[in-house]
Amino acid sequence: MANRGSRAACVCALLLAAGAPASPAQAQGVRDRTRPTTTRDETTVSESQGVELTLTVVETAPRALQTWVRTAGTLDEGRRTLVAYLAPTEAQLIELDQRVRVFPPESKSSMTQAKISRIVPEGPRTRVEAILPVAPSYDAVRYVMEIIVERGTFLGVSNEAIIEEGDRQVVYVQQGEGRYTPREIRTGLKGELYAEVLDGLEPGERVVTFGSFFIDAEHKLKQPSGALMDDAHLDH
Amino acid sequence: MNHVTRATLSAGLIAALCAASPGSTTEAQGVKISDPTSVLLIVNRDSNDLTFMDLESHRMVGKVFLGNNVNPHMAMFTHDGRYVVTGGTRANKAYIVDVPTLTLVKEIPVDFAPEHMSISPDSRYYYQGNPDGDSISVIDMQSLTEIRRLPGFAEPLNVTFLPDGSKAYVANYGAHWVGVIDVTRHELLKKIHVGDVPAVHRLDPDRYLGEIHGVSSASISNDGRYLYAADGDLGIVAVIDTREDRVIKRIPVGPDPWRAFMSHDGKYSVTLNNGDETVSVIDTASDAVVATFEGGPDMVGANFAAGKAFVISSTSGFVYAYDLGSLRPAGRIKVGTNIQIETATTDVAETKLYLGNSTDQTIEIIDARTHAIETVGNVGLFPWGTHIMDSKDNYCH
Amino acid sequence: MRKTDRLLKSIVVITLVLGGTRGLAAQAAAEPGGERQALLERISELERRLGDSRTAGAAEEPAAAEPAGAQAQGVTLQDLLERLEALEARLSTLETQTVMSEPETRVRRVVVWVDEDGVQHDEEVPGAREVVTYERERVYRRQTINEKIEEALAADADERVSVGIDAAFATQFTGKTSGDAGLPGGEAYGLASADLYFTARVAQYTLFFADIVGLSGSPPDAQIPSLSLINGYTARLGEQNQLNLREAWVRTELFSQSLALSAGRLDLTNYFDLNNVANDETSQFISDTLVNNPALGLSSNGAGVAAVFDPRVGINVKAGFQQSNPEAENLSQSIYSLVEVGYVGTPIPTGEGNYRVWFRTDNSSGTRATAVGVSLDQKLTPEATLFARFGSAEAEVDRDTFYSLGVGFANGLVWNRWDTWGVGYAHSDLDAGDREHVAEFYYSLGLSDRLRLSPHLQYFRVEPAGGGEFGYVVAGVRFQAGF
Repeated sequence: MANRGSRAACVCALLLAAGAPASPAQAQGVRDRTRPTTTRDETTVSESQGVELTLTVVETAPRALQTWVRTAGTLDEGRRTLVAYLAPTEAQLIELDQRVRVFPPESKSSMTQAKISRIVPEGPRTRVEAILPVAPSYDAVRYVMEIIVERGTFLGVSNEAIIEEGDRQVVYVQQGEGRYTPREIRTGLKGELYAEVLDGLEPGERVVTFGSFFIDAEHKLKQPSGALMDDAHLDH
Repeated sequence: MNHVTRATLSAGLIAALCAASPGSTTEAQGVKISDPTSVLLIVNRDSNDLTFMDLESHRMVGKVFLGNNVNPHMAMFTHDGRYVVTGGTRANKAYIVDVPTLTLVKEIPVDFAPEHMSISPDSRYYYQGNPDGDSISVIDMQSLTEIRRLPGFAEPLNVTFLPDGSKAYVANYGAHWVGVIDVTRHELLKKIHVGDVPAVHRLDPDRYLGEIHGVSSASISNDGRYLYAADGDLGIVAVIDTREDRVIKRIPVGPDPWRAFMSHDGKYSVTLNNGDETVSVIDTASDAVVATFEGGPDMVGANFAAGKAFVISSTSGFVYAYDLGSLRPAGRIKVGTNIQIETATTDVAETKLYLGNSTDQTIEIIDARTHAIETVGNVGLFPWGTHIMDSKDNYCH
Repeated sequence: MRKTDRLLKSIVVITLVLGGTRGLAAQAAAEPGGERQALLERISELERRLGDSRTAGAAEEPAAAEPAGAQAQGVTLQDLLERLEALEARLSTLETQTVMSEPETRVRRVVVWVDEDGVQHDEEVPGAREVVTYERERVYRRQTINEKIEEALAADADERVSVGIDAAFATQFTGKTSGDAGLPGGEAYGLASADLYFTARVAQYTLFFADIVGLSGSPPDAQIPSLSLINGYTARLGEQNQLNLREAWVRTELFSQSLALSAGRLDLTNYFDLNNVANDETSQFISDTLVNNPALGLSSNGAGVAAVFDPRVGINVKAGFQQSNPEAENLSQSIYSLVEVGYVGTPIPTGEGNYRVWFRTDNSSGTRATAVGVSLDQKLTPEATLFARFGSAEAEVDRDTFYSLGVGFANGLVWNRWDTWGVGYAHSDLDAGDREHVAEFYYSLGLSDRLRLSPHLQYFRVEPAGGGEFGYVVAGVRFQAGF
C-alpha cells in the first residue's frame, strides 16, 4: 500500500513539477483545443479602434514609486519657511531634504522648489517645515505643498491600468495583437503613477493603461451574466 | 521525520516556489544622480550629448551620448524627476534618459526636426513639437511610446500646458494662430486667431508671402488665466483668456517681437523686439506697455533674477540688464568677444544665470546681483540650451 | 528515516530539480527564438529605412536582402551577422555620398601653450607661453540645405559693403493768410532728395559709413522769408542737381563697446539733441524747427569727432566738435563743439522718458558764442509721447530763445499698425526782435516696409522786427522710400 501510495505521490509530484507547459491551449485538454483560438475571456480590438481609443499598453517592469504627500503650509514671518502639519500615517513617510513643490493656490503656474528642513512630532500630529531658496514674490501666506517621497523600486503597474471591482483589482493583459484578457492582481504600495504588484503579473507582461475602461466595458458587454467571476481566473 | 528535517524541507519547498515569483524590491544600481534638482542639464548640439553639471561644485558629473548627427535641441526634466527628454532634431527622434542612472532608455521616432517640447503637469505626457513636420508628437511617459501624432499645425515651436493639465496651447511660428489641444483626448480643439494681417499687405504681398514670423510661444501668467502670445509679423502681443480661449487684448509692441517672457512675480511680461532692437515691458495688470528700452541684435531670451530682467543678445555677446523695480536700464554685461551666446536658465534661488556660450563651449555663470561671470569650460560641443529642474526660466530658442 | 519521510524528501528534491529545469527549459524555448525574432525584426526595419533613404540621393548600393518574414526558425546567427555587415556597407556608401551627413567644420579660436622648443601643448606646461591661435574642428552636425545657404549668405553679407538708398519727394502748396501783397501766395513747390549710403565693417567693432546726397527742386523756402525752413530737406540743398558728400566717417567702439568714437566728415546733430518723436524730417515733422533746435546753430556738416559714452545704465555722456564752415582754411577755424548729458528712465509712472541737456560753443563768427538747450521725450500713454525742446543762444546783444513742444502717436490711435502721426508747435524769439510761430500736423502712412506717405499741414506766422507780419498755411504730401 505504501509503495503504491508513494509511487502515486511521485507521479503526482512529477506532474506538478512539470507544471503547465508553455502554451495555455495545451493545458485545457483536447476538447478545449478544438475550440476557436479566441477564448471567451478575450476581448479583441481592431487597429483602427485602438488608434481611436489611443489604446496604450505598458510593460510590467520595475518602477521607481513615488508618493506625493499633499498638504497646506503657512509661510513664517521670515517668508522663507513653510510650516505644515501632517497626520501620523503621512508623517512617517517624511524625511529631511525631501523635495517639495510649493505654489500659492491662486498662482499654480508658478511653482517654487523647497526642501524639508525639520520634522517635529507634536503629540497626535507632526510639524513639518520646508525651506524655500528665496522668499516668494507673492503676498500669499498659505501655500500648497507637494512633498515627493521616493518609496523605492518595485515591480509596478500604472494606476491607470487597474480597474477596481469591489474588493478585486483587475488589469487587461495583452495576449497578442489586439487581444486582451482580464487578470486579477494583488497590489501593495500605491504611488502617484504606479502601484506595486505583489501577485498576478510577471515582468514583461504588457497591460492596457489608457483605454482599459473601454476594454473592460467591451469585455463585460460580451460576457453572459455571472461569468465575470470565472473569467478573471481563466488565464491565470 | 523530526521537526528540524520537516522544517528544512518545507523551507526548501517554499524557497523553490519563491524563486519563481516576481521580485519584490530591486536594488538601484549605478546611481549617478540621486537628486535631479542638484544638477544643471546642458544640451550640446554638436557633440550630440547631454551633460550634467553639479550646481554646487560646478563639476561635470555625467554625460549621455545620443548618437552621431542627432543634434539635440532642447531638453527637460520631467516634473517627477524620473526622466530627461530631448528631441534629436536631425535624427527625427525623441530620446528618453533615465535620470538616476543616466542611461538612454528609449529612442522614439517622431516627425521631422523635433525641437521644443513640454511636459504635462502630472508628467504623464510629453508633447514634442516637430516644426518641419508641422505636427506634435504625443508621447506617453509610461509606455514610452508615441501614442498620437497631431497634424495640422504650421511650424509648431512651443507648447504650453495649463496648470491643471486639461489643455495645451501650441504656438505656430508659421502662422498667426495658437492651437488649443484637449490633453485628455489629444485632439486639436480650436485655433485662436491672434490678429489680422494689416490691410496694407495688399500693397506689398511679397513681404507677407516671403518668410513668415508668426507666434513663437504663448507664455502663461502665474495664475494660469492668461497667455501672452507675441506675433512677429503683426508686431503685437495677444492676450488670450484660457477660460474662454479667445483674445481679449492686442498690445502693440515693437517690430518683429520674438517672444514674451513672464517675470517671476507675474507683474511684467518682457517682449524682445528684434525688428528695432528694443525691449517692451508690459504691465500685466493693465496689459499695457509701460516701458520700452534699447536692447541688442538677435535677442533670444530673457531671464529674471535679483529684481532684474536679463535679455540675451545672441550675436553681440551681451546680456542686457533692466531693473524692474525702477524700470530703468541696469547695465550691459559683456560675456565675450566674437562669440555667440544661446539661452540661459536661472537657479531656483534666483541668484545666478547659467548661460550657454556655444562658441567657446562653456557655461557662463552670471551673478545676477554683481554681474560677475564665472566660466565653466568643456561642457560639450556647441552648448545650445540649459535646464534646471523647477526653474522658472526654462526655455529654448 | 521512515518511508514517508523518504518519500516527502524525494518529492521536494524532484520538485526543486524539475522546477528549475522547467524554468530553464521555458527560457530556452522562449528566449533564443525570441531574441532572434526581435533581431530579425529590427534588421528588417533598418533595411526598409535604408531602402527609403535611397531616394534621397544615395548612389548604387548593394541590393537589400529580402525580409525573412515573421519566422525566426532556420535563421542562424551567421545569417544575422552577414545581414548586419551588408547594412553597414550600405550605410557607409550612403554617408560618403550624401551631402547632409558630411561632418560640419568650423574654425575656433583656441588657447595653446608653446614651449621653448616650439612644441605646442593643449594644457599648460612649465616653461611654455600662452598663445592664441585658430584651428578647424569637425562636428557631427547635420544641416539642411536651407541652413547651409543661409549661413553662406550671412557670411558673404558680413564681408561686403552694404548699400542703402533713401529717397523722398515732397510737394507743398502754400496759401498766404496775411502779409504784404508782394509776397508769393497760392504757389506749388516740390523738392526731391536721394541719399545713397554705404556701410562696411572694417575691423572688430569698427564701421565705415558714407552718405552721398543729391537734391533737386524748388522748395518754398526759396521764396518765403520765414525764419526757419518750411521744408527741412532744404537744409541739405547746396547746389541743385549735384551730388554732395554729406558724411564720411569711421566709428569704433571701445571699453566693452561702451564708448563709441566717430571721426570724419560728420553731422553732429545725428548724435546730439535727439528726440524719439521729433527728430527726422523724412518720417516725422517736415518743419525744420520741429526736428531741430535752432539754438544749436549748426548749418553744415564738416570734419569732426564725436564721442558717445553709454554704459547702458540710463545715463550717457556725449562730446564732439566739427568744423561748421566749409570755407574755413584750416581746422582751427570755425570750430563748433558740443557736450550733452542724457538720461533715460521712468521718472513718472506713465512710461519711459529721455532727457537731454546740451551746451555748445562756436567760433565761426570770429568770437566764441555759446548756447544751451534741452530736448525731452516722455511717454504719456503707450500710444502718446510728449516732446519738448528749449534753446537759448548768445546773440549780438542779448540772446535768441526758442522752444517747441508737441505730441507724437504710435502703436495705437492709428489707422494702420505702423502709422504714426503728430502735432507740434514751435516758437522762436530772436535777439533782433524777429518772432516766428510754427504749427504742424502730419500723418505718416506705412504703406509697406519701405514706403511711407505723409500728408502734412503747416502754419507759419512771422513777425519781423521791422514790421510786415505775414502768415502762410502750407499743405503738402511727402513720399519716402528706403532700402
